[in-house]
Amino acid sequence: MKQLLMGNEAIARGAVEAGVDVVTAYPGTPSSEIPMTISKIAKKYGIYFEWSTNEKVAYEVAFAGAITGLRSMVTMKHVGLNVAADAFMASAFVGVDGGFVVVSADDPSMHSSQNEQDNRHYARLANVPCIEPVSPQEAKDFTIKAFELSEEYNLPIILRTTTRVNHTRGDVDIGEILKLERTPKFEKNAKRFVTVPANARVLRKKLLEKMETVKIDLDSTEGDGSLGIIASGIAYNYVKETVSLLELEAEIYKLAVTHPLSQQVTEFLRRHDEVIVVEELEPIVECEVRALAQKEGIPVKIYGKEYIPRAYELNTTRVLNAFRKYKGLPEEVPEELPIPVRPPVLCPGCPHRATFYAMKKAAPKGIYPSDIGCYTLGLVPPISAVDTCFCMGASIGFSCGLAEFVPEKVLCTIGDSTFMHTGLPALVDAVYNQHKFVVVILDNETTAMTGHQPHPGTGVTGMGEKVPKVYPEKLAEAMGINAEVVDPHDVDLTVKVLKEAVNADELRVVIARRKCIFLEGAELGTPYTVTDQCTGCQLCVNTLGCPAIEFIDGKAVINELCTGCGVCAQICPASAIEVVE
Amino acid sequence: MKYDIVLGGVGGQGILLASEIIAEAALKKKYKVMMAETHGMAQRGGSVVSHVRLGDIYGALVPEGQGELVVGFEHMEAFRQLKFLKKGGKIVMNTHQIKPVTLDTYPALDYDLTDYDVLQLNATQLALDLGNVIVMNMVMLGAVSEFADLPVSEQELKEALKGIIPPQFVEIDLKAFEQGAKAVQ
Repeated sequence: MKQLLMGNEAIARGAVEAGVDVVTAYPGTPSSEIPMTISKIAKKYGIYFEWSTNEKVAYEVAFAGAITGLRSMVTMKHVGLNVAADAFMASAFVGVDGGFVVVSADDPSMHSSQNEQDNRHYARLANVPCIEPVSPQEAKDFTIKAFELSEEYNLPIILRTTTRVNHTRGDVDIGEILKLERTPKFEKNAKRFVTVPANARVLRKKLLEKMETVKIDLDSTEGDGSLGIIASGIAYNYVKETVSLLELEAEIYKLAVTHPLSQQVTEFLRRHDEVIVVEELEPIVECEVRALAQKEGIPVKIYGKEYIPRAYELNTTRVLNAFRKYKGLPEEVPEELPIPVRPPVLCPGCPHRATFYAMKKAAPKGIYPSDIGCYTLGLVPPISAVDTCFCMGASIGFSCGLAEFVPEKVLCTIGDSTFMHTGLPALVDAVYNQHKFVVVILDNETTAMTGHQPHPGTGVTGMGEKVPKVYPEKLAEAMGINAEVVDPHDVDLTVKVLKEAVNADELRVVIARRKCIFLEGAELGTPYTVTDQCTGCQLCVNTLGCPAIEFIDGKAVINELCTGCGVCAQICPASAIEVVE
Repeated sequence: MKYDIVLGGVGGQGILLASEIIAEAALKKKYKVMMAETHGMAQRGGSVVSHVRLGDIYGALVPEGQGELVVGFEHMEAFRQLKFLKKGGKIVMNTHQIKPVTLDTYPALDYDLTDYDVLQLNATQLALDLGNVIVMNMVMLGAVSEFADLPVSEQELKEALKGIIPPQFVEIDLKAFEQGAKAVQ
């Protein structure tokens, strides 16, 4: 039976078909639909699933599954593996018993990320195998294969995907579900599980020996010609299209195993005079292939990043032009009309808009470090209340330093989920080292940007169980910090509380709590309208940047997007905004 | 045979749903189907695009200048996707305009479309006439079905729609579909 599945749904289906026992995750685009799919079906298939507080914890929970013999999977976006890297490196040394699949969803072109990084590097760094699917069907098949390989070599396997695989829908064959019925067991073994230097030295050599034995048969070749093209991962799709459109005579090597390279690659190099390596982002395969040719004394000309762009996602047009350049043909750049950009903005009725407004009122000359979430959109004018965004949790850590070094008032913003993720240790640092700034926790009671996943503050688990909520104000109070909770839609009160916090000249936490408008139980009001009293001062338009307020013929006009938050009515100096009768 | 469609609009307009209906209908006809979507930060009222490819294709992204059809759910968003259309290709364009909050005035959009076969309609108004702006995507789908040469029939699209849409919305969505188709005639 064929079904139309998104790459992420196909990975989830593959894990289920492989009899997965444990799945853990912290959400992150483009990986989030994998755990979201598992979350819905975990109970039905007897899977233990959890939304962990961050990727490192997610990794450790799943790793515990794997070393007790259970088939385990952990999913994250590329930068998530930076957070989990410590656990990841250790797991390669220790090895696994049950199959352990680490899904790293990279985001070339940074569709929804703060950086562009190539996590194939991690496979080399940790010395673990890495395989890459190019379609939803392969996403499912390779997930199943990854569990088998992991158990064959007792190593974690990186299933590396990119946005274009995660978020592509395609036809997928649905297969049988394997029933393993394993009983988890932890057998004490200090030589393996306690990585003190004496043990780690032994494990290091064992890991190198293990990797020597790894042979994964997933690559394939097709076509004929003196030109050889090594197409790594998703680049295969663009190469196929290019070869067909330019009618190139070439043999294509479809490289699915990016670490360790198959012996077949050496054979491929031997039978060609010229080889072009087509890979997205970093020249990883290219460098290895160059080294291989040198080592084996193969007189092949190797090309790569001379033609293939290194930054951003590849597509057929970019690969076509690379091959045109290689053939000495002029590039063909498609005509692009100068259409102005339409950036994403905070939604109408988003509580963060009101909090940003209040912060700027409370400390107009302040510095506003921020973090990763919907609220990063507070950088878009006219809100302009986000001065920095680096990585998860950095708002607080960076503010610890900044508040110490510059004279301005520092007010940082961090979301409720991000606070639990990596904000907490930084807040402890702030208390311990007596840094003086204001932490504004933008608590919309969900992980909104990645699709509204629950977190410890919501009192709901990934399995749908109700549990006691972890309140950020209680955590702050336990550290001895003065913490206050406000409703950001009470504008005057929020400004007052923030002003007091700013002037206190000590570390303060203010929690701006109001549900994301998309959540069940979010209090939406009655839409507002502008009366004849509007003086056309544009204060609402120029400070809130709300998509529901337009400025037409010298007057503000509220359109059908209004959710009735009433923030504009509270700030209007002419009292010209009223609830629709 | 291959048929490439690029659907563009603004986050929240139901572009993904319309794309899914076309893809499901094609899958039922045993076509190879690939569809690329926009998720995450790119939503929240920003530009959204989805590529649907049917037939003899490899990747999910329509190569620029190769598409058979562009569907614009918002006026300037239709023009944004024109680079994907081949000469002589078809455009179905919602003339309704949504001004980005970052712009003072809406752009003029006086571009030459003589190379293409264009259908313009105010799908948003047609949806509002039916009582709910949310069905605009189905008005567009109906217009596409009537105007373009999709390899799936009107009936097949309607069947796919019934399989995807929650039962309580099927009636109004089918009505919207009909309105869109009628707008072409």
